[in-house]
Amino acid sequence: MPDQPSDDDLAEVRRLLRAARAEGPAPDDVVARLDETLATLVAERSPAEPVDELVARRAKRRRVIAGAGLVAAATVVAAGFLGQLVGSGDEADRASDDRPALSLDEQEAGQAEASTPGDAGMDKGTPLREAPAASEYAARSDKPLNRDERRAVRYTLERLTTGHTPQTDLLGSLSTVAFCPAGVADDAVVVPIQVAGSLQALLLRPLESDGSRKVEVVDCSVDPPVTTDSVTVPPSPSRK
Amino acid sequence: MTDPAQQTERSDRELLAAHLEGDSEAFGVLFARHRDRLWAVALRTCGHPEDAADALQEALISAFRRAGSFRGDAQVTTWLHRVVVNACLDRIRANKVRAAEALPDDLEEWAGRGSLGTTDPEPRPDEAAEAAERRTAVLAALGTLPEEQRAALVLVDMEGYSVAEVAEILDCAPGTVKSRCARGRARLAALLLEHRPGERRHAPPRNQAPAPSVPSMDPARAPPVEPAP
Repeated sequence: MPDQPSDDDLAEVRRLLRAARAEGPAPDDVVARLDETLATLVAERSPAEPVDELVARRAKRRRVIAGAGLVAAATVVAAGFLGQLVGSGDEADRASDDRPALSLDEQEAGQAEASTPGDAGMDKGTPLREAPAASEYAARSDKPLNRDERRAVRYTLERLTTGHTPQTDLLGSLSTVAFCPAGVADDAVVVPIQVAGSLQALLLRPLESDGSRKVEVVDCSVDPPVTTDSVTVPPSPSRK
Repeated sequence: MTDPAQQTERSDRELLAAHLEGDSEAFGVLFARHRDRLWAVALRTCGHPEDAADALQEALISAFRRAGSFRGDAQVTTWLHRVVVNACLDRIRANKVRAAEALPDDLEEWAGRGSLGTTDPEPRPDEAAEAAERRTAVLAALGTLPEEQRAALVLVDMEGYSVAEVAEILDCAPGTVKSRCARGRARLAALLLEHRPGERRHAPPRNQAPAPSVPSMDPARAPPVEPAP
């Protein structure tokens, strides 16, 4: 076992750490992103916001799907989302209230404990004014996209906007809440987009073993949702 | 809605209460008030600007939505730091699962973003380069620590919080914070000070590696020789 560092060594380490602290303000792009997120959160709280209209529409569609028949339900059982789709909705709400968000990566890693370090700063009470639609989709809409996912979105949007395709806008993760039944997006990260005025969703499928990723463009405004396009995003150069 | 000037005069606690009562701007004022320091903590805890931005955004969402769960027995800023650090630790753990990324490729950017502030307004180029190199080494070494040790060191040694405050932020005992800091510093000392030119900080390890064995010249121990036909 090596010798313990001397007091001088420890003092030097502390000095080096102090010198390496981040002293500048948050970068402009980060501030802009936070401001945008905050604006979305504030809008979610307002009953007059469009997000709520989407929520209502989505809730209505969920009821229709729940009563549509056992075939759809069986598919969902296989995907493990029965509770989310045909449950009362309250169960799903409670499950997702236990923590702010659960990323797909964490699900894959089997880290979906009810209590996580992410909750350490919160009391386990009922959250105040939780966005009503965040429940069913929190697992894939509340979590900011990671680098690979952002790259996949950029890549896909570039492909979609090349040539004749009408204007495509990325709507931001928080407004995802009103789209796409869980059974369609069971293993995907969902990112809402607007294509020529029509609300659609990008379904970012999990990374393949070679680092590529399939992204589907899905029109979730119809039942059942229709895949209108599909793009395979090549592996990130940094992974090679 | 409240007059902006009035918003800035309100305490953290008042702003949080106003947010809970439906004031649409109060939380923004509160978060903006602490944003830079929260960013600094996120950046150093996550170790990468993109991850830090993700964690900070996540923390913003979480704190906004769950402001009602604030117990009120700690300072609001402590609670905000706790939310941010937890978001960072969640992200670090998720990244660990995703891939064992040793160090980011863009370490130069990583070291530079948010860390260029210095008390020296115009350091000489060679000094600046040396300082940047040293900072890069420190951050790289910091990135090798277990996340709990890293978070404790960021808050105590970098940000200057007291052990008691950090214990609240990390939701653990003060003794745990001290122990994490001590272990982290010891590891950093070994990583950062051991190989400094002209300095030898530690005695050589007691169990020295044995010298490489010398090939035997003893013919008796050589492979058997095939007899000549």
